[in-house]
Amino acid sequence: MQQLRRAAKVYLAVVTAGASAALIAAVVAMVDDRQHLQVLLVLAPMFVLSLHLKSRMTQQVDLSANVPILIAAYLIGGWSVACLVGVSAVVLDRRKSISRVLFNNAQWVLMGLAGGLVYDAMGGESMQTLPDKGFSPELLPPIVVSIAAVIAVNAGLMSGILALQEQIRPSTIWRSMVLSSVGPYFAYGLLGLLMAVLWSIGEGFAAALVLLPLLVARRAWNQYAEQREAYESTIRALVQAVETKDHYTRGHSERVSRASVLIARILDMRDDRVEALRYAGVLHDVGKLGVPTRVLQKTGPLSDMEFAAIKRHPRNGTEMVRGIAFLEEAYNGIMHHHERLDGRGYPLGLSGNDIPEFARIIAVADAFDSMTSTRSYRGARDVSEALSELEKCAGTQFDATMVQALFSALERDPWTTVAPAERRQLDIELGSPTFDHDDPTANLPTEPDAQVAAEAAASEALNERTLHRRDVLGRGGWS
Amino acid sequence: MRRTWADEFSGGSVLVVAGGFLLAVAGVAATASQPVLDPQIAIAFGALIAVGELVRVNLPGDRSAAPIGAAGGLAYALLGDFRMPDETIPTTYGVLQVVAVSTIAILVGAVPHMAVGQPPRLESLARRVLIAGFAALLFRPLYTNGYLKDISDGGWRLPALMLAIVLFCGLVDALLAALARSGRERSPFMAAARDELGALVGIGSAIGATGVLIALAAEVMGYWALPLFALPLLVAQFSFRRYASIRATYDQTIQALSRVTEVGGYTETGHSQRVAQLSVAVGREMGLSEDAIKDLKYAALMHDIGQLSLTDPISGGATTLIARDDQRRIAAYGAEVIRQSGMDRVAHIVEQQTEPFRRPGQPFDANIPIASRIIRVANAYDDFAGGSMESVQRMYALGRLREGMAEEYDPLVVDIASRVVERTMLVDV
Repeated sequence: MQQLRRAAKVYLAVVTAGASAALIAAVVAMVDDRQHLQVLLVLAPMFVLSLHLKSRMTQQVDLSANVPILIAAYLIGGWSVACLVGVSAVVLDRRKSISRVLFNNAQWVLMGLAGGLVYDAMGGESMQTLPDKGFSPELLPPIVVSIAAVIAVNAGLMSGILALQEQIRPSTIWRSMVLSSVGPYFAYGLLGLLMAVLWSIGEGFAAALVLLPLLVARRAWNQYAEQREAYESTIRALVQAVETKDHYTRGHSERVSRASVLIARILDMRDDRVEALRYAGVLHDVGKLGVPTRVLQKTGPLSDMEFAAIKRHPRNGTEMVRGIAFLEEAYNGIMHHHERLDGRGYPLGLSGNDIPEFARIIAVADAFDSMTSTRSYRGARDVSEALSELEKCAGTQFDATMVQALFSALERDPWTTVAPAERRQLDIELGSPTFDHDDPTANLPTEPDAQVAAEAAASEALNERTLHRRDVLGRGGWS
Repeated sequence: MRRTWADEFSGGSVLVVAGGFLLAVAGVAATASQPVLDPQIAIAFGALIAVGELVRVNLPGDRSAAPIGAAGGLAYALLGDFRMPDETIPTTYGVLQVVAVSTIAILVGAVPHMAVGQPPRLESLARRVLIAGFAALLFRPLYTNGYLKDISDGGWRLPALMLAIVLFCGLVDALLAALARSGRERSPFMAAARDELGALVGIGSAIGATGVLIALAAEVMGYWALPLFALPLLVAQFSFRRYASIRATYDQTIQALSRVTEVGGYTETGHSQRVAQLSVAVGREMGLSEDAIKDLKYAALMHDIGQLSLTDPISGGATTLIARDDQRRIAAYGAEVIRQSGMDRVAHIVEQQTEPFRRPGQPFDANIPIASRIIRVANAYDDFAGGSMESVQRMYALGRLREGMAEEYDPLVVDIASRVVERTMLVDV
């Protein structure tokens, strides 16, 4: 756990003080008028329970049942009930860092306060009156505006702490957190409204059922996340298997993918495109399987025939991944990653902007990683050397924009070069006399070596980082 | 995933479709012969069901579902008092009107799908009609005869009754689905029932809850209850769609990567696919669970991935024809690759595929997973027969398998595989 920065400390103190003031006011209001005590007594335990259940699950995407409960609280009982419900989860909060406990619970209180006050100000009435008046669309504007207030408070508080403490750019926060949370929050608001409606007709029992679709959706999301993880590690493992054909390229695909994503982030590419680019980067060389091992491992100069065989790999690779439903762009990235800006590349000899953007990115990432890792005929060069080499070739071989983007990316996140791979024995020759009949795994690698482990760690770190950025608001908290 | 009319009308599917059809005809005929009661409410619920049918999804495990349509049907069956703009009225329609409204709405919602060439699976349409009718049969007589007056003014008893009815309907639905599936996939009924009940827990509970909530809330919200309470279910459905789509992508990826050995010139074109098809057909007939079938399929698709480590390809990629020790080393390397991707069960299956069914003079080795035994047989069959459709070639291959039954191949698997091959229609995987 890193230390809180000074500015973040001040920020945290202000937020906590604000929430404390709101709580005192809420308690006073509650003591004056006890008619909503029952709402508090039912909703607060639900709130605690759902937050507690949540913290016991490990997941990337979370559909929180807490926001609907908070919204239901102010729709039925006003801002004071919402503030008290919001603070209730502090009893079971097991986060280790005291600053995070303070911040997250203060945030719940302030969200409840803002929603409740805005709802009142817009002329919203307690849902308890619903059975007499009936439901009409006139009820909706105050609810919608109050939800917007809840979102604003959540997004404002979160971007404050992330900008001050974790130095994430406000534009990134805005795009990956605020925009992506608008949809879920209105869905939460709807659930809150539905809970309030059922409460008003005396079906408090059924109000809990409203959360069932949410829980089911959450389970599906978890399965989705698990499956995605499995998917990624499968691709990674299989690509590693492909790379065993050429010992010196181990980890190459993974690193090219990483570098491509770094470039894409600098270019402010949309998330789903980054995702497709990541897969394209990992799979860009998969077509090398169709190239004879002998040719791939050859150290001397290649004959025309051999070079022709190598030149087939982008096409082969595209053919192999055709059946997988990616964005069309990913196929293009694989197909054209050996094109050159001056038109002297392969397979089609495209030039300039005719080369798809993905391919221009992968070409730079590919060359960069080739230079910074060990080859059979030379050792690894260092990063600055490789970058100046890329700069020399910008405009003829590479797109200068992409080279520049790689420069900026590496200024921000330094590239971790790892020790060159040791050659390991992978070739099996049939009928090999050294084989031990009792041990089917003799001569076979059983443990990933240090480099593979380092790669895995690096790419995990990257994944976590992006997920963290994207979903921090969905979790409703700073964690 | 290709479906044929033969699949559609096999065994249990016929029963389910016929039952649904008869009920639908009876409902529509009876309702047409007299004025429709509470017509505006019927139109509102009909619209909800039709929209639900329009946005139906394919859930993992080749299940076609229309969660919102199903919830709408249940809600219409369970509807009690209804809030009109100025007053609250009791509803008066009966069981057959529920069936008629559901039927017509489902057909209307299915038209756009048919227009774009994606006809619905008749069996799942029939099930939705049957279940709406069944829920109505349990609830409407109680309500229209006034037996529910005492418990309908708030509290837990009315919701509890509705939940009980919905739960019961869910169980019946799962059994009907299992009946159809066991016919379609030629798997034992009990195995299919287990899979369907397992699948019910997820989206099924959300469908049931939404049906109950719409019916309850309509008492105070009127028409607004329909779209507003259906929305959360739409969100849930969206999550399932995401899950189903990543499952499909995963599937496609494994299928694509199972071809890497073919592109690399190690195995014959289509070998992994054919082994997977035969393995899955055998596994289904043996009653393996859905999860086990998935593992079996992945293991079969990747059973030759270990050949990537060979410096020189084996002739024709036929591992059946090389020494067992070499087979083991290839399998072990393949398993190693798969294990790194986190699929431990699949890796174990691939690793064990080279083991004989039993050793001379010893009882059969229960440690070898059934999936490994199936793949061993399917792989050997394909090595002997190739993709040949010639019956001479096929009979030769089956003969070779039977010769190996003493120790190489599990006799039960060979038996079932022979049956599948003789049927000559391999199932799609």
